[in-house]
Amino acid sequence: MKAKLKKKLNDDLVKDILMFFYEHQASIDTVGGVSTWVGSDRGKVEDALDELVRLGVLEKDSMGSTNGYCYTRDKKVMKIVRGLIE
Amino acid sequence: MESTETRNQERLFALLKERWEERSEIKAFSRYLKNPVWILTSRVPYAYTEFRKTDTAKQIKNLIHRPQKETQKRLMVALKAIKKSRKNRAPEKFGCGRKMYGLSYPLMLNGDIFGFVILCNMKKEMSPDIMKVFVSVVDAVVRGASKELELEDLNSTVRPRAIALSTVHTVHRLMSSTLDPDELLPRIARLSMQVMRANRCSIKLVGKKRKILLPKCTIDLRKEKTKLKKVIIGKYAPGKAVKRGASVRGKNYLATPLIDEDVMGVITLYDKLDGKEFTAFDEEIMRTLAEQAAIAITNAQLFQEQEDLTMSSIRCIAQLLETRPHGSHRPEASFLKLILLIGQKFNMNESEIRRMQYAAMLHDAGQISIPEKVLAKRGELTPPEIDIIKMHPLRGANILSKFKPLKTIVPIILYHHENWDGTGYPEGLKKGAIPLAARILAVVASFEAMITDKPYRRALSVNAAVNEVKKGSGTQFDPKVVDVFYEAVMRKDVRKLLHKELGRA
Repeated sequence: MKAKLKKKLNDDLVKDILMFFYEHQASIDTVGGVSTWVGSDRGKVEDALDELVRLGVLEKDSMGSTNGYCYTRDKKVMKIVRGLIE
Repeated sequence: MESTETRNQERLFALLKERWEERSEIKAFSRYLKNPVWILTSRVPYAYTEFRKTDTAKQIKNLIHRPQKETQKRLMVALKAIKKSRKNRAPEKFGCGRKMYGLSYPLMLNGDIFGFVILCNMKKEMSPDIMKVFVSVVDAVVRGASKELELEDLNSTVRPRAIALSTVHTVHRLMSSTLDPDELLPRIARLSMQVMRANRCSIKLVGKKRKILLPKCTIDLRKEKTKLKKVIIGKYAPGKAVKRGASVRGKNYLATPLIDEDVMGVITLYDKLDGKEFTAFDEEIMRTLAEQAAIAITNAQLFQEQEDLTMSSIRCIAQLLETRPHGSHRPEASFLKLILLIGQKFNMNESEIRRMQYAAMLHDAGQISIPEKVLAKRGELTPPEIDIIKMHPLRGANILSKFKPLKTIVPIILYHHENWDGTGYPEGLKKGAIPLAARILAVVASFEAMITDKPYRRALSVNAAVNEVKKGSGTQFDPKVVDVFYEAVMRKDVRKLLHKELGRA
């Protein structure tokens, strides 16, 4: 997972999104919200968010048409991310 | 204690000093004055003995390169000019070496001096006109830097709040789109834990006698199994929060009452992931989330009450139908379970499945308009009698369309006798033109009719009825629905339920 995430961090958008959730760990936001915070196109943000969900860094909570993305609460994953970022 | 104003002045001075010579206006001035030396200083002592020890004095001294006595004289001249510029709040020239000129001008914000810009080693003296331009440029640079800081402050203050607000909005959307209490409470707990970054969340609701709190949902990230405990109102953090109608906060817990008109329960969070204490800000955020949660819970309860009322009405009508001559006891629970399983396989949502279940209980409501002699007839039906029978989906749809909560099930009732190959009634629709819910109901209702006794024939065994349904695949029934039905009806739990309701295999 660490190697995959490290590779993904070469993508600036993935990095920006990860940084956003790392800095705002209590945040739960939609694709629209995250694209505002990172200042990028919704479609690209959605793909990057889903990629981070697949990697286990983010969690996705869906209800009807609402999808909320939030930072993982898995301590192991949190430690890996902290190591990569800091 | 350092005042906010002083801190702001220090930040402004640091910002100016860091990027002073990179600013385009200063660059232009430097070119015009043939690259003088800029010195920015925040404090200048009044006394020479103190001034000469400062970095500013050392910088000026290094530029002069004169014998010690002359250097001392020049430094005193510079200090005098700085002091004069401070007093007059205006630029003050001074000589800083042989044929070299200097200038001191105070850096001011809102009338307060927070530093000085000192120009040294100018090869020509600044004319009054150029000095005016210099003053307006320096003032503009200070104002610009001050705006930069204001924006930075605004961003650092507003952005986290905007992000928190966006989170609250998303949480509200996620909560309010759930009307099933069984799904809602764990969702509220999970969302609260996420927002608070807590290890554990427990939701308790006030009991009917309003003396105890009943545990409804507990999620703990550290344990797979959690104990659900009742709490007396007034005891422990959850009980105290409910009694007071206000949050109760400790180092590792935060209990927030759920209030909608009256206190209905409490959300308690325990142990932050990072081991830190719960704060007043956490309390504030949780209060907002609890308000939304209370509304969502009330909505779900009202929805549930309405659903129960609709279901009771449907059961009432269904029981009335059973009193008709062809009516018989139906295996209702098995019937509804089959509908649920098939609907889930077709990725139908909860409300679509519920509509289908309502339709299933009332699919033959139109038979109320069929004369008893036709329904009870044991022999073959005459063509006019068949025509009457064929009218029952339309009649049923007409009757139920008058009952507002059931309007959405009307198409299911209307088309549940349509056949996959187009040979059904009332409209002879084919394949995909028949609504999926009606195609599912067609299979399940036929199966149900075959396994229950009728005045004109005995019930088939479950296996025989399943085989009959399979025979109709592709002609009477949608083959995909038949496949899914087969999978569902072969499940052990469905078989057990059928056995229980029919009293036979």
